Order: sequence, then structure tokens, then C-alpha cells
Amino acid sequence: MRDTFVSNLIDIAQADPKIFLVCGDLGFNVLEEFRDSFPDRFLNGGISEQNIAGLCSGLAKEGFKVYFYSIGNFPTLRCMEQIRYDIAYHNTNVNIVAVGGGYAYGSLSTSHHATEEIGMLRTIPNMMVSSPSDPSEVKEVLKITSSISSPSYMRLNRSGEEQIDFISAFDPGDLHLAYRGANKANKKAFISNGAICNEIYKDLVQSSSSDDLYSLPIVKPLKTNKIIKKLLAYDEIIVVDEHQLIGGLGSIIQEILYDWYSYSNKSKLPKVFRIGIKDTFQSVAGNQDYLREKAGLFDYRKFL
Amino acid sequence: MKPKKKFLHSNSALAASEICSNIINMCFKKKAAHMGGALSIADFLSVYYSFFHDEQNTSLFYSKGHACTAIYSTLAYFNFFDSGELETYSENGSIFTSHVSHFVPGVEISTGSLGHALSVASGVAFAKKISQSSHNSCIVLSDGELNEGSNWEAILFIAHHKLPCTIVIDYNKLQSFGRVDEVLQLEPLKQKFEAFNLECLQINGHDHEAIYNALNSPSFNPRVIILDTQKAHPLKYAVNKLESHYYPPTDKQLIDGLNNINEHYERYICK
Repeated sequence: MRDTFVSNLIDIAQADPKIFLVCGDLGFNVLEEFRDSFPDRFLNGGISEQNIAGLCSGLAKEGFKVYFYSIGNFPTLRCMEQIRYDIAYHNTNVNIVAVGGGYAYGSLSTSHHATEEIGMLRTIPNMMVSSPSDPSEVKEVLKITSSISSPSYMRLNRSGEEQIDFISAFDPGDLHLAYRGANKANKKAFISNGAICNEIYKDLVQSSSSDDLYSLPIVKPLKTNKIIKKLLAYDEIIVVDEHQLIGGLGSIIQEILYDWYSYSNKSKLPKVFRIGIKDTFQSVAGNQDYLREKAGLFDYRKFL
Repeated sequence: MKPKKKFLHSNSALAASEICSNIINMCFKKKAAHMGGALSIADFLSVYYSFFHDEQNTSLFYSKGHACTAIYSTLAYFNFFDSGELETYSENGSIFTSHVSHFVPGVEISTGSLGHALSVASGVAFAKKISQSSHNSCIVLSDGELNEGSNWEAILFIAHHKLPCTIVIDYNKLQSFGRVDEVLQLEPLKQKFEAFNLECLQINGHDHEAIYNALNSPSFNPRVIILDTQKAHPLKYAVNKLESHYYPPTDKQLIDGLNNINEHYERYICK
């Protein structure tokens, strides 16, 4: 995902002289090509994310389409107030991109686990928030962020994630059908995003599952009517999110469904089972899969 | 920063007199706080907008957003909008919020959470520098605001990139809940900026000629101007008092205050 982001940003920057990339003193073996191709549109702002978030807004005020790239919590939680006030309130064209979503930097410890940022960022007006599931979705989301003038956040995992052979076309704000099981009654749907969606996809393909899987790469803004229409076709929905349960993808799906239900004359909703991090930190070393297992994220397999 | 007009004490004194009067009237009418820190920066704003402000080549970022009555009154005096609009200050539905709003004509960015404007201004200055424009960004900070670490990140950045910025500190030595030297000591302040490789001047922030001379520099290097000011200047009943951060004037204090303002500035104003 990371390499897809950088190579596609380079392609976009070739055609668009307003693309500007800022990093917070990281990007070794990742950002060199951009830096060397566009030295006038690259800035290493140092290890100072609060200042960088503000200065990105200043660069955007001057007409640049700014990308602020860093790891997990640093361009998000560390400078949350600058994002809210300097960027989102002024509605400037600043696109925050974080690598290391969820437990991607597993053994680097809690400092590097990005497990709350989506819940926080999606409460901020004007922010588009995304967590693509594979390189093809990264490319689509990047295309959108480079063509809109409001701010955005994109969560990336690391590198090496596989392509998902999506069935439906990418439609921003709608569910993206990744896998369709054989037709049968009482079908279940899995909904996920980010790198863990890729894991579910592999499991479903391997087991020739009769259930369906959707990715929801953009979690805000949403095309709720389209989403509801799809969800109502199922009796059970399992939402899997490498994020705290509070404020994460499961919350989003429940909000959409219940808000709709409260104003409808329907008597029944699909059941929603939420798989996510249960209000805990992981305080031991471990790779991404180890920590996912420990946090109970692979419990979705009980529904397979 | 290059002046647009030659110094004429009468011009900036007249502006300051009107702006200070407007500040205390606004605080009186709306029973609003933050009068003291608005009055302490009024002389600087009067000089800056009388002689230096130039739509094309300068931007003023007003970081001490709580002291909004000063910048709103200044922008009204210099015709960025009709001064009658200030009647809605702080009222339901008004764009004139009680911390600075960028929806007000002439305001670059909203401020009110401290320690933000210097970073945003450094992004603007960086963009101006790479586009090789001869632009100068002036950023007005309060002294208590220097407690915020984000300012020092921005100062590192501005000094490293030699950005064309003029950083102005309203050093009235009183912050929200105590004196600066008892809450978090800033001294030696001038030496701190110099240690960051910034040129730094320290002047009397109520002396218009000194402000003019400090701003008037052919250099595009970043510089800091520390204004030694008095909170609530020139109101005799409130000057240098912490209470002026909170309390609006009473009926009598308003009359006395308006008289103090007239007495203070009339000596400079050509009749």
C-alpha cells in the first residue's frame, strides 16, 4: 500500500505542479524518489508534527495540494488540535497519510499502534477519512484526494499487501464488493477495511465461502442509502476492524443501520456482530498477526 | 518590512485612540473579557496598519485570538468592513466571535487556541519564499502563549529556513492566572530568540516611532520584535492588573478610561 501510494503520488505530481509532500523526518527508502524528482515540492519538516500540521495548512492556503506523510499516531493524534483547527476548520487542502495502521508496526509497541485515529478523525467536520484494503483502493482514494480541495486522512498498512479481485466497481462512500459467495438463503456479509480486510478475503477464497465480503475504504463521507440497501439483504453482518471498537467501523455500520431503522416502518434489522479491539492496549512485543490474535481480531473466523 | 507610508505620529495616534476607545466600548457593551491584552497591542496594530500593511506584500497573522477586540477594531478603523458591523460583536449569529474568526474580512486565520498562528504563517512564508515573492509575514503572539511548545517548533523551522517573517511578542508580562515570571519564566527572552539564530529587538511597545523603526528593515530575514507593553494601557484604573484580563469596565471606569485614552493620545494628534 505504501509503495502504491508513493508511486501514484509521483505520477500525479508529474501532471499537477501543485502537489506538495511534507514528511516528519521519516521515509527512508520510501520517499527518496519523490524528493529527488520534485525537490521544490518536498519538505522534511523535522520531528515536529504540531508545527507541520499548521504549516501544511499555510502551504495549502497558498494553493498547494499538500500531502503530510508520517507514521500512525504522529500526523494524527500528536497534532489532533492542529488538524481540527488549522486544517479542518479552515477547510484547507491537506491530505494526511499514515503508514502503520492498526498493529502493522506490531513489535514497535503501543507508541506505534494506530488503533484510535479513525474514530477521532471521523468526528471532525470537513475531513474525509479512509482506510483502503488493498493497493487498488489506495490508488482510487489517492485519485479522489488529489482532486478535491478539502482535507483528508488515509490509513495505510505497510507494504506487500495483495490485490483483491473486486467484483463491483469502486464507488466512493459506498461498500465495495470484494467477494461473493455461492447463492443461498440466510447469507452473512463481512464488512471490513484496511489490511485486515485482505486477511478475510484470503480466508473466504480459500474456504470457498458462501458468504459475502465488502470493503468500506472511505468511512466518511458515506453514501448511506446505497449502503443500507445492500445491508438489508442480509440477516447477519460481521464487521471487522483493526481499531478500537469504540468509534470504529462497527460503530459506523450500527449508526447507519439504526439511524435508518428509527425513521423507517420496518420491524427488523440485520444482526451486527462487531469485531474490534476491546478498549485495551497491547503491551507485549509481537508481530501484526500475533497482536491481532491476542486482541481477538481473528474471532471473525468463528463466523466463517 | 518596507513601509508603505512615511511615519506620521498623528496618523497612528489617531488610529490608536479610536481603536482603544472601541476596544473598551465593545468590552463594556458585551460585558466581554480580554480587554487588557487587547489594549496592550493596540499601539503596535495602529502603527503596522497605518504605515506597513500592504495587501500584496504583507500578511498579519494575529495569534492572540482572545484579544480579538483589538484586531476587529483595527480592521474596522482601516475600512476592511463597515465599523457599524462591530455592533454585532459576540451576538448570536455574528461573524464577530469572541476569539478571532477568519470569516471577518482582513483576518488571515482563525485563532483562539494558542500556539497555532506561527506554524500556519510559516507554511505561508515557506510557499512565498519558494515562489520568490518579496512577501513578509508578521505574526503577533502574546507572551503567555510562548508556553505552548508548538511555537518553539515553528521558531526552529522559521530560523532554519530563514523565512521572511516578523514575529512580534506582546510582552505585557501578565498571563491568564498570574505574572509571566511566576507562572513560567520566559527570561532571558531576547537571548532565547537570539540563541535560535533570530535577530531580536526589544522596544517600548507603546512608542509609535520605536515600533515604526523596528518594523522598518530592508532585511527579509526572520526577526523578532519584543514589545515591552503594559496590560490595559493607557487605562489608569486597570493598567498592569490581572483583573483587566477578565473584567469589562463599569460605567464609571468606561468614562474614566475614555478620558485616559484621549489624554494619552491627544498630545500626538495634530489639531
